Parts: sequence; structure tokens; C-alpha cells
Amino acid sequence: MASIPYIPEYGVRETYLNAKHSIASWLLTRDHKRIAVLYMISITLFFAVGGSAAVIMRLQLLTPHSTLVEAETYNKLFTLHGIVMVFFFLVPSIPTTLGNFLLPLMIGARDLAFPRLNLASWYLFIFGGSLTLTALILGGVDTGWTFYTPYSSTFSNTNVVVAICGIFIAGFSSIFTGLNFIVTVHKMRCPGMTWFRLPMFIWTIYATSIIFVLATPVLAITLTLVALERILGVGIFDPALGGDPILFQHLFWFYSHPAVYIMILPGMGVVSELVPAFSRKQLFGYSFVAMATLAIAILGFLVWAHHMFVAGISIYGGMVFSALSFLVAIPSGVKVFNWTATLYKGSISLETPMLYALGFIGLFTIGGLTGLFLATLGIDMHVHDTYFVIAHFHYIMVGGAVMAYMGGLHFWWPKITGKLYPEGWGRIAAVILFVGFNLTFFPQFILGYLGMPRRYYAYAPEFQVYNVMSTAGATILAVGYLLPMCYLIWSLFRGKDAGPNPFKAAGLEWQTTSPPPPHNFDKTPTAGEPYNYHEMDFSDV
Amino acid sequence: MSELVAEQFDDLEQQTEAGTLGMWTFLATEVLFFGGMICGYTVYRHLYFPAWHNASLIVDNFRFLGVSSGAWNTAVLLTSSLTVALGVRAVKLGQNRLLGRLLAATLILGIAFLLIKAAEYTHEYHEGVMPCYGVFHPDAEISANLHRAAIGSQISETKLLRQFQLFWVFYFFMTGVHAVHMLVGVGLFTFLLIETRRGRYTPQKHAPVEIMGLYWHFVDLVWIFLFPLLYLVR
Amino acid sequence: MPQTQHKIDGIPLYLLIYCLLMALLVSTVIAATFDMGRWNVVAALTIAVLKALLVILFFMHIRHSSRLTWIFAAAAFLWLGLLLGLTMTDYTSRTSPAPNSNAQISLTAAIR
Repeated sequence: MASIPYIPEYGVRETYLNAKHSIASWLLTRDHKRIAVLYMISITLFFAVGGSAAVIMRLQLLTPHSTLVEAETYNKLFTLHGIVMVFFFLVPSIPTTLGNFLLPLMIGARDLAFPRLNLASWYLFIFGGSLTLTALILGGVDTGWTFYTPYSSTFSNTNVVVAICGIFIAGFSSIFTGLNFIVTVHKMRCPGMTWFRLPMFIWTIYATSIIFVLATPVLAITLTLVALERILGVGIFDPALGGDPILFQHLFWFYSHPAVYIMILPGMGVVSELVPAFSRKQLFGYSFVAMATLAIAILGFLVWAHHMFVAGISIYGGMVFSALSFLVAIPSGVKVFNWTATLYKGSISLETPMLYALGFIGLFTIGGLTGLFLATLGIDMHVHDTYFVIAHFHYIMVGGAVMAYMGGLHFWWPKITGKLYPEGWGRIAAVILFVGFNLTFFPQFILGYLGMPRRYYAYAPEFQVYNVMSTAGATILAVGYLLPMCYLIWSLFRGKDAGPNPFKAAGLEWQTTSPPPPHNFDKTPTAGEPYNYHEMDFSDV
Repeated sequence: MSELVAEQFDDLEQQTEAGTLGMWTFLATEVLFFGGMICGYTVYRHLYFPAWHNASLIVDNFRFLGVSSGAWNTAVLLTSSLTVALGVRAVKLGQNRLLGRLLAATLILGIAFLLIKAAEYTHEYHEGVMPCYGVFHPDAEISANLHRAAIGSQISETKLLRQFQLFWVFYFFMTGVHAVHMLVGVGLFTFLLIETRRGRYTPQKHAPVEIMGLYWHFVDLVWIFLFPLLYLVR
Repeated sequence: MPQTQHKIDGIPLYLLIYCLLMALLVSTVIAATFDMGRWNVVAALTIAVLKALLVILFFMHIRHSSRLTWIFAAAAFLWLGLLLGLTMTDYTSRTSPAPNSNAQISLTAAIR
């Protein structure tokens, strides 16, 4: 390794963490690694807020006619939960934290293409998120995160406009991040880093960025139209004034369906890094996985009206979108097969990140398959707007995306912080999370199938046993989240120092120190083949 | 030299290519931003054609010297695109004085566009077609036209009025968002003009002019489509 | 990476493109005065697309730009096409229920 500068007054080498210590050096930083840490703290706070709303909802649903909260309050709770979790946790999560931190490192660059734009993205995120959070907490919004018209545009008496303003601003945070990532991947790869030598994580971040850039603007303009309708009393989506509420849904879901691919693709990228690392084996079918990634991003734009089958679109439109929705499942299936093939005859070790990755593969498969049920017109007639849908997307969002985030967080924690997390606690927490998750959400498939509607603060008594199971599961799930929060923070102070490559993984990020120096590499690296585990020496492990 | 190339880039060429690609990516987002409105427009034009045809005639009827204000505005913007393109050429050839003049011409044309737009909006306000509640009172001549159109197309008059109002929502919103983009463009080009007067741009450092020029051309492109869509619904 | 930004067009070319643009503007205004039924919108949009192509190719220098830039510009319009096209599959395939059918009766009752 090249020589590392030694700062006499610190007594250690210079890293991005200790290079400068003032608050200004953090809040005015242009270093993508510091910005990633700023995002990490921010999204954790939003997750806590969104999760708290879920706790209250699950407590309310312990009994069929609980008086813990009123109906109005319940509406505000599920709206808060949806808005915060979707726009301020899941959409930013992996791209702005792991993506920001790792993208330049993995391609051998010194920083992103536009570092100041990156910082601006974080400020937009904070400003938009704070604005929306204020609206959600002081008074609340009761339209659901989907803002369906004409309720949101005409009838709701809550802080819709302020909430929309915040989401609009945060949307531009996403757009600028996506723009930054796209230009960086195209223009700043180190010598030898051809497209087909990129780590799969970069492919997924790139595909996600395409969606950021092409889908988010449509959401921005659509929400603006809703705000305009409220403020000016005009009738774009209000049938009484000549408008079509289904037009809102078309425009809304044109963004929001690709948005779910924003939420899952980076998670798939993380899993594509974890599975080879902990199988000590090359990613099987690299080019197929790469093409499948792009296919998901592109096909994901063609299926949005499967959220609208019972809304009043034409039956022929429904058939078109149903067929396209079946199509988009195929590349996801390709990825699952390739991960499985990577595991086959691999030298598997079950460290914490691998536990999360394996959990992802199983739970994402269940979530994805139930998506196909929903894409089937006949079934969707019955389970639309029931807990079946809720279970489906939580399997993907929590069982998939959040588990991938946890896996990635653990895997790259030594690189980001220079400290090792306690492996024993990590495994325990992963198992607790897995058990808690399934107990929370599997009963919801049954509830939906039996007909329990979503977004209701009360339910018929025959559903109680499954609701109690679900709430019990949620308690265990909460422990699964709190444990890592505790031991990860503990590791910052008492954790063992990590070397440059504690997991003996492939990838340029592991060729520099943990944590990396401010400019990432002392000497610009040259890329070789990715996932070259077959060339690495594991005899001392 | 170090001031010319930011530290994350290896050389000036990489920086310029990254900047240009970044602007094109941003313009792609803008296509989708306006695209949402154009989607809504397409749906309602399909559903409410008689009312929209009627309304479009009114928009097109505001004329200077027999030519509609929309056509004048299109001519103004196309000319400004020419001055921008010639300006980018000038900076690449190191013709700083010419660049300054062309940027000033672009600014004048941009402001002329905004002034014509303001005149249109004022006229439309007085005709009573601004679509917010309390203000939407189409004048006698327009109301009579609508009445005739309702009879002719066999749509109830209240419905036709609502569909007519919806056109105006789209008209003001689409041209309004476009005008905001023009304002931003005017701001950017004022900045470019000030920097040009300070001699900041050279054939080596011409990228900011070219990149902001792309933005200006894009705003012109949007108008190229808005003009037939709003003024020429036939 | 091949250097694509160095070609500088001459003033006559820019003026020619400008004249073409103004001619297209005049023709779109004239075309609107004829009643061609559903072909009016086709004519108007075709002329607009031609104008747009001239601006993009010559004024925005896509002609001299890399394949990547072409792809980015094309993708933007392709995506707009997807938004419009797929949305219109819904609106153009909506049918009114048959008169006196159960669907028609419920629809009328709902509107009343």
C-alpha cells in the first residue's frame, strides 16, 4: 500500500473523519463521505419518526374497536407513516448513504462529479423533510401518502399544501443526486474500469439514478397541481369542476411505481456484493444481472396503472398494464437465480451481513411473487385496498430493502467508521429482525385474503387473532432495530479497529484505509476484474 | 491552471464533458417536468375538444399588427436562440466584445418575451378568464360565444363552462411555469453578461456559456411546443 | 475519449437555420387558418417537431456531440412518449356502457 500521511498532533494517519473537526467543516463539507454520514444520521431520525407512527397504529389494532386513537388521528398516523417512510427514508436510504460513500471509491475516483451539488442535495432533503414533518406533526395530514384527489385537492381540511411543498423540495434533492451519480459513473471511472468491470452495486445505483431523474419530475409537477387546486379553487382533478381524478392517479403512479424500484434496486446491488463476498465466489452471470438491472429500471416505467385496476380505468388499459407487470417480474427472477447460483458450491460463512442478504433473498422472493398475484386482474379485484397489499409491499420494502440496508451498513461499517461491530450481537439482531418481521407481516397476507381493509382504525372481531400476532411481531421487530442502533454506536467508542479489508472482500473500496483518507486513494488505482475471489488467498482465515 | 479545473477532475476536458452531460441530464428532467402538464393537457384536449377549441381562439385573438402575441413571442424566442448560438460561437473564438453584445441582445429579447406575456395576462384578466375562484367571470362577448358553442356541440352550458375553465387553468399554469423558467434564464444570462464584462470567459474557459446556452435553448424548445398546443387548437 | 466539442459552425449556417425556423413559424400560423379537421393538430405538431429538431441539432450542437448525449436527449423524449402514450391507452379505450345495460342503469343512478 502507498504511504499514508501522518499528522503529528493527532498521532494517527489522516482520514476523512479526523481531517478537520469543526461543525463548519461538516456542514460545509464537499466530501462525499461526510455527506453520506450526514444523510445516515438524517434518515435514521426519519425512520424513528415513521416507525413510532407504526407502533401507535399497531397498538390501536390490538383490539377491534380500540379507543387509543380516534379515526381522524389514525388517518393522520398512516399518512405520516407512509410519507415519512417512503419519501424520507426508503427513497433516499441506500443511494444517499452507501451510494454516496461508495460510488467514488468503487470506481476509483476522488469524489463525485459535482460535490457542491451533493451538499445542496442534503440541504434540500433536510429542508423539505423538516417542512413536511412539521405539517405532519402540527395538525397532520389525513389523505394517505398517495394524496388521492378530489379528497386531497378539495375536501381535506389538513396541512396538505405545506406537506406537498416539503416533498417537492426533497424531490429535487433526489433529482440532483441522481444527476450527480449518472455523470460520475459515465465520466469519472478510473483507468481500466470498463462498464462490465463495475461492481454490481454501481450498476444498481446507476439504474436507480435513471429513475430518480426521469420519474421524480412528474411527481413534482403533479403535487404542484394538487397544491394549486387547493389554493386557487380550480378543478384540475375535481369532477365537480370538470376534472378527472383518475388523471391524478396516472400522473402520481407514473412516479410512484418506478419509485418502488428506486427503493429495491440499490438493495439488490448490496446483496450482489454481499453474496459473492460471503460465498468467496464470483457473482454468477454478471452480465445477466447487469442487464436485468437495467431492464427492471426501464420496464418499471411501463406498469404504473396496476395500482389503478379498480379505480375506473378501461378494462383494456388494465389488461395492457397487467401483462407488462408480469414482464417486469422476470428480470427480478433472473437476479434471484443468479444469487442462488453464486451460493452453490461457494464457501459460505454466515457473518451478519450474509444473514441479512440471505433474509433478503427469501423475503424479496415472497414479496415479489405476491406482487404477481396483485398483477392478476381477477385477484386484484378482491384484495386491492386490503392488508394483502400491505403485506406484499412490506415484504419488499422491509424484508427486502431495509434488510439489504442493514446488511450493507454492517458490511461497510468498518470501512466507514474504521471500527468493527460486535459480530455476536450482529447475528442475534439479524435473527430477531427476521423472526419479528415475519410474525408482523405474514398474518397480514391472511388478513387481506380474508377481507380486512387497509387504512381502517377498526375491524371486524374475527380478524383479531391475526392482528394480535402482527402487533406481537412488531414488538420483536422493534427490538431487532434497536439492538443495532445500540451496538453500532457502542462500536464507535469501544469497537476494535478495523484494518483495510476485514472481510477479505473484492472491490477498490477495500484497497484503501478504513476509514479512507479525504481524497480516497493516495494513488489513482487501476481496475481489474470484479469479484476476483478465485484469485484471492484465504488460507489464513 | 488549478483554478480552471476542480480537484475531483483529472483535466479540463473531463470537467467540460461532465458539465455538459450534467446539463443534458437536467434538461431531461425538465422534459418530464413539463411533460406531466403536457400529459394532463393531452387528456383534457381529447375529452373536451369543443370547449378547448373555443378557448384557444380567444388566446390567439390578442394581436399586434394583425399577428397573434403568441406568434410574436415565438419569433422573439427563436431570435434569442440565434443570439445565444452566435454568442457561444463568439466565446469559442475569443471574441469577447461580440459575446457581450450577443448576451445583451439575448437578455433584451428575453425581457421582451416576458413583457408580451405580461400584456397577454393583463388582457386575459380583463376578459375575465383567469381561472381562480372569485376572478373567473368571462365577459359578455365570450359568454355569448360559449352559449352558441353549447348549443352547437350539444353539451350542457354548465359543463362547457367548466371545460372552458379547465383550458385556462392549463394555459396559465403551463405558460406560467415556462415564464418562471424564462426568469431564471434571464438571471443566469445577466450573470454571464457581468462575468463577460470582467473578461472571465476565454476559448479555454467557455463551458459556462455553452452550458447555460443549452438551458436557454431548452426553454425556447418548450415554447416551440406550447405555442401550437395552446394557441392553435383547431 | 474523442474530442467532439472543437468543431465551430460558421455564421452563415446559423443564419440559414434561423431563416428556416422563421419560415416554419409562418407556415404553422398559416396552416392554422385552414380547417383540416383532425389533421390540423398533426400539421401543427409536425412543424413544431421540425423546429425542435433544428434547434437541438444545430443550436444545441447535438450534431457535434457524442453518442451519449444523443442517447440522453432521445431518452428524455422517449420517456415523455411513454407517459403520454400509455396514459392515453386508458382514455382512448374507455367505452360508455351499452344503453339499458345494468352498468348503464347504475351509472345513471350514481350521477343523479
